[in-house]
Amino acid sequence: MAAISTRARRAVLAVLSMAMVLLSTGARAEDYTTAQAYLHAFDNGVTVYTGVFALNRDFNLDTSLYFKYNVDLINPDFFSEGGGGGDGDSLSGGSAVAAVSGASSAVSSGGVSDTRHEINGGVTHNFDNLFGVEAYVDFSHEQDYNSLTPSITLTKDLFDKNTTLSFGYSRNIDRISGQFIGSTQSRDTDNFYIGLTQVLSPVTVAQIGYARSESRGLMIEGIRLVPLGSVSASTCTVESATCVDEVAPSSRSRNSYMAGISHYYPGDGESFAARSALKLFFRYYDDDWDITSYTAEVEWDKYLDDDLVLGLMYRYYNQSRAFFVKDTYVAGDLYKSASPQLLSFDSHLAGVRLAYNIPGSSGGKGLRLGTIEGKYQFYTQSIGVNAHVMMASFNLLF
Amino acid sequence: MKKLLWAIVFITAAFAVSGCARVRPWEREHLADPIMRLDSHKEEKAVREHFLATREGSVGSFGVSGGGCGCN
Repeated sequence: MAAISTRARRAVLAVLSMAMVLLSTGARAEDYTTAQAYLHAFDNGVTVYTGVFALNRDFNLDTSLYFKYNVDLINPDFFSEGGGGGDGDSLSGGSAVAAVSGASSAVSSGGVSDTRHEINGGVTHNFDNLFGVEAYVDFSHEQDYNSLTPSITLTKDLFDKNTTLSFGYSRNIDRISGQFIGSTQSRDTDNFYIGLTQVLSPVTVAQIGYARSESRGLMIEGIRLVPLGSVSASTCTVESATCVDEVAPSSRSRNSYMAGISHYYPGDGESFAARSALKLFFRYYDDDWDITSYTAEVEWDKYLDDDLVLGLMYRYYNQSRAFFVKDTYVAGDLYKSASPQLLSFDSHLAGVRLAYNIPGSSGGKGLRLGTIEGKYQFYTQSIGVNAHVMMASFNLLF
Repeated sequence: MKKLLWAIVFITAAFAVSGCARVRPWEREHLADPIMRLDSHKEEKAVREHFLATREGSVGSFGVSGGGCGCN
């Protein structure tokens, strides 16, 4: 926290001050608490256990408060002998970084272990049905990376709440101290978002959005080394004349365009589609590093009975590589990267979930005390990453 | 500049379809159903965005937090 600058603290204070002002004057969100557990198991032995606890509580009719704690245990010692590692790295040549951890062999082959803590707090306030405000502060800490993110979103309902406009701004204030960086360095990112949600019919709603991000500062994490010439990445474990630090441009501008639609199929269960919802989502992205990506996602949720919901989803993602990414680097190259995130690849994510809505004591369709849910997803990248994702959650309404 | 123009066209088109439908509050039973949410719960969305943002080059759309080795 000490590494966070005065400017960052001022940003947090500004958001907190705004929250206090909001509280002093008056999102009708539902009260809920949720506990979630995740397992991300990668095919090179890296395992991440995640726990999430969140509480959303109405302060009054117009104001609600939110708190969340998230912990990621990366290759924790207490679950495994040796805590995973880099075995089974399926990449080769100049890209032979640990495909799963995203780190160089220097990190992954040692069975890297880390813990990430994230705390998020915020307030949502509705100003006499004129507009809504959401203000949050998020702080994330791990061994080599601190991130502070204040954010604010304004929403405005129009046309009898058939149209909702959203304007958002957030600032990522990151302090990076990867093992191959001499001293802690900074990266600041301004994020802007504008979105529109439109009700199209009693069973269809659509959403579009545009987001822009401007980043400045250190654009690498300092956790990878780049092999020069014919040097094998697997032997690049310490800095040397042939294993050098990554170098990336000191700024990055990103644009993303999003569109989604959700359609409900009513009915009483006679047809296959009855009481189900089909959701489609598309995203186009480009940036000034010449990365262009396309994302398409489809999700189908179906009531198996009044309290049981089956969900199926599939996501396809494709991206081109950054302009400075090469198969082989020489010392004279201005930019050098060993990051798999900057390569050209496709990815697929498919999953199934089952949710049980706990009926409320008063009974009746739609009234529930909470939800118990389980989910399984499989993620695969064309450059070699495979991951199993499992989630169990308990959500209680009150 | 070209991107900005596309953004303007994008938003203008969105406004053009706004107001086409006037769905009344009593007609919103299905719209209010939890399975109609375009976003999953924000806690679940945050975990997923962090997972994807540490593996893919086009990070999440709005302020993904944290970084490091990208192990999660």
